[in-house]
Amino acid sequence: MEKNVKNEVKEIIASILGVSVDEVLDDTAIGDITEWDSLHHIQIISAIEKEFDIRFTPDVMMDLEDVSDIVEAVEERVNK
Amino acid sequence: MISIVEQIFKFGESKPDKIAFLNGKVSLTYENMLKGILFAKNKLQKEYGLVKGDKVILAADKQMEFIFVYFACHLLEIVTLPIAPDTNAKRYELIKNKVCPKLVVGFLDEDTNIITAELKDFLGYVDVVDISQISFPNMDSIADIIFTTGTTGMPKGVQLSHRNIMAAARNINTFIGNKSEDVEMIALPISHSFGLGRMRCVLSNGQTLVMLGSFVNVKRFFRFIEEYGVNGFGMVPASWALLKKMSGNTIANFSNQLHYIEIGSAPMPLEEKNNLINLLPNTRICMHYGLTEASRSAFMEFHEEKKYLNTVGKQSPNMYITIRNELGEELVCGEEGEICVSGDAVTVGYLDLPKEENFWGDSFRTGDWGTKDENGYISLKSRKKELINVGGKKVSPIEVEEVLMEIDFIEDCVCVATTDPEGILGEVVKAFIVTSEPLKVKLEYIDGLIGSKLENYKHPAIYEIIDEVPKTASGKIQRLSLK
Repeated sequence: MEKNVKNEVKEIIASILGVSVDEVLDDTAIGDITEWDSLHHIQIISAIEKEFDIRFTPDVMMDLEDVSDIVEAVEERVNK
Repeated sequence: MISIVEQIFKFGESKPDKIAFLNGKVSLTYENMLKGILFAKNKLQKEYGLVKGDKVILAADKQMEFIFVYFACHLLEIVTLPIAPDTNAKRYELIKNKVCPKLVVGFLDEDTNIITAELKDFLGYVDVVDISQISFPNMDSIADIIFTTGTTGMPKGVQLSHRNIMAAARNINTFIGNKSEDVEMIALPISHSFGLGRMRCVLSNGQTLVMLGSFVNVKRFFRFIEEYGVNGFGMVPASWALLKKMSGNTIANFSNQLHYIEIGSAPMPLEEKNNLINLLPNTRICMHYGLTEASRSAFMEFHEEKKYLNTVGKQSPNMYITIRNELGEELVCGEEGEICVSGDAVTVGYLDLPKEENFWGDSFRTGDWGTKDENGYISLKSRKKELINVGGKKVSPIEVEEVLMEIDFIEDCVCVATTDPEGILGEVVKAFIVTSEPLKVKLEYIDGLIGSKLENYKHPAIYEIIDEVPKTASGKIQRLSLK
């Protein structure tokens, strides 16, 4: 289950940024890939919310620093 | 005046252990920065055989290797063309064909005539033996060529000499009041004038530079401020909109720590200027007006010049702004004309274009229209080429947009020229509206709301609803993409 969430999140990120999924690592920081700008970030968050049918509150959004944080935030919500 | 690279070497010699660069993974002292620059210099000379006057396309990635190659080129009087690492193929080809680079760093190119290298190839260090043996660039040689985005046609190559970039850094540091103890975070892209200019300001002043990928990493932005004692940064209005959306008023927690913020590249709503004034009562909030061609032509500080927040400020230190008519004659206070700028930060000219086309004497024609009041404050009215000519009368789209934005159900808007469907006036104003209440967007209704706030000929004749206003990465409205 966990592995699937991680892979799915990475695939969403890679497809929105238009990069290879291999470039999206657990410790890739938000914004470190050149294409990861504000517009793409908002698209990524919306796509993840839609895919997993969850909502990120502003508090949670502000606590996301890298890909593993996004994965954890998703896992916490889908496992509830 | 000495070049930025010479200034960096002088500073590095006197304070070798001072931290020059941090990004959360790497920490680099000034001494190691000089060693890195010398390593890259040797490589460019010996391995790639580059000489003075050659051109290098360089991916402006936020790594220390970029800093090494960039300043190594400057040392050798090689012309650098820093471009965004995600530059699209069409634009890259246009630039490449225009400049015929001897080396491309940070991009793959299948063209076998082009020699390429990766940024990481330039990671290495050579001991600094004796700075007096290093020859530094002539101030009048070209340091950088920056290609402007251009809303129409071909991108133009703006040539900046060593004198231009050093003068700009000096002017900016003077206005903001930067000191070498300052620690600045750069979250802006360094492939554009604003971010690259900030990098030059910081390093030429012996400050510490903290690099962050993007403002989008709000958590890291605030963490870096706290951990590294960041006391200043640069942002575009869109960065602030994002910070606010994702973190509310968190920035106010650092109001005593933040000494300065530089804002630029796009207009900022008055409400947000006031918001920042309230959130950061002790911070110098400096907003510039400028172009790649005439870096930071004007400046203002929000607290000190609160009465003039609707202007773009006054001419920057060592910059001279005049308002001129179409014959190049200087106009008196209050008269509207083209904003022209002179000073040693103004470009020496465009690549392959005659200087006369864009200058009146030594005064660069910005293409922006505005006025100057008796106190020297410049008000921006419009881009000249975006003026709407309604039956011979010129209309500034910005003026119409400002009135429309006062209407409560209009969330965003943009006005452009369109052909008068009646075939009488030539052009009329067309307004594109972003709203969640589309039923209210009726010509007669909005016309009534505008009333006398605008002369009749300035009222939009056509309305169209759109999802969002197209903007460039730096937040500039792409007016010409709408018709």
